[in-house]
Amino acid sequence: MTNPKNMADDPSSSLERWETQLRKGGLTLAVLASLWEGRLYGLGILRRLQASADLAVSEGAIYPLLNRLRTEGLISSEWVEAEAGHPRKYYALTEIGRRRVRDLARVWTRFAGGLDVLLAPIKDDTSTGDPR
Amino acid sequence: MTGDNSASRTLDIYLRQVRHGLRGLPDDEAQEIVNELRSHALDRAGGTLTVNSVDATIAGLGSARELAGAYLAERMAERVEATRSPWLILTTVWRLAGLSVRAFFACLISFVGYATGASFIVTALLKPVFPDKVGCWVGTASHPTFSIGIVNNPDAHEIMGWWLIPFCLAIGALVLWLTWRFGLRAVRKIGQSRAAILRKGDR
Repeated sequence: MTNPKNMADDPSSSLERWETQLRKGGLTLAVLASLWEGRLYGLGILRRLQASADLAVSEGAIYPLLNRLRTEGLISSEWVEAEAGHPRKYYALTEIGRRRVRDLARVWTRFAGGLDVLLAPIKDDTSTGDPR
Repeated sequence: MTGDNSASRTLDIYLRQVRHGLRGLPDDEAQEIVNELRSHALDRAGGTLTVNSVDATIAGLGSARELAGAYLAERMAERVEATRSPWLILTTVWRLAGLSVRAFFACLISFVGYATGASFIVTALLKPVFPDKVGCWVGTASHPTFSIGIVNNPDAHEIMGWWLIPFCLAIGALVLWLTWRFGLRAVRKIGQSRAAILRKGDR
């Protein structure tokens, strides 16, 4: 449980914790979305997340997550003899996965859109300085 | 040929350790995980393993124990959510016990909780069989004691009679239910804390 006193004492660490939780929550959506345009292998997904969404996911986290998404039937996997000279395991969205990522994206967009409206005055304040 | 022998040996040792840590998973699934990690190491190294590339890969993946733990936590949390079976929850916390202090205590509390709940139920079931020996026993004023179950103390006297049966059944069921809820929550928490560990993005 979060201790309010600690949060007040160390705002930067509480902000960091909050950001980590936020990123964790969005990770499943991000991984599924990275496969929307076509199949990718593990390192390819990591690079896509980093390049497109500034999401630096640890290598030790992505593979267990991919394994779970596969057993849940949201993605499928296939070993392919790649041009790199060794086999690579490619992941692709299944039909269920495509439906799930659409649903998740709709929820996320609605949530983020609503929050954006709420945050608009704060964004204006941060660009012009605190009026107090 | 995938690079120098020393690098290959280091990677093999690491992958063997991961494989060992995955013994809770089906064999084919565990082997496929190891194959994928080897492929990842080769991708990261551009196809040719070197000592530096293997070191960097292992640093990125984390220790073999942590990595295997993340796989187990993700998979087991999912299976537990699907069935919510008390036996599966108990075996899951047992398998996760070595991963962290939290998991160890979750395992300990689960075992104590199930044993306590079961002992109340057994006491209730034994009461009709041994009505004079099973009870809620209180000692004397000079030697105050309190216990529930079978007691070999001639000075103690029984205070609950046949009410012991509903009392023990209710307490036993409550303790078992609380332990089940605790185990379910612990598996979820362990799964969440070990999966999806993110670094902050480079800015």
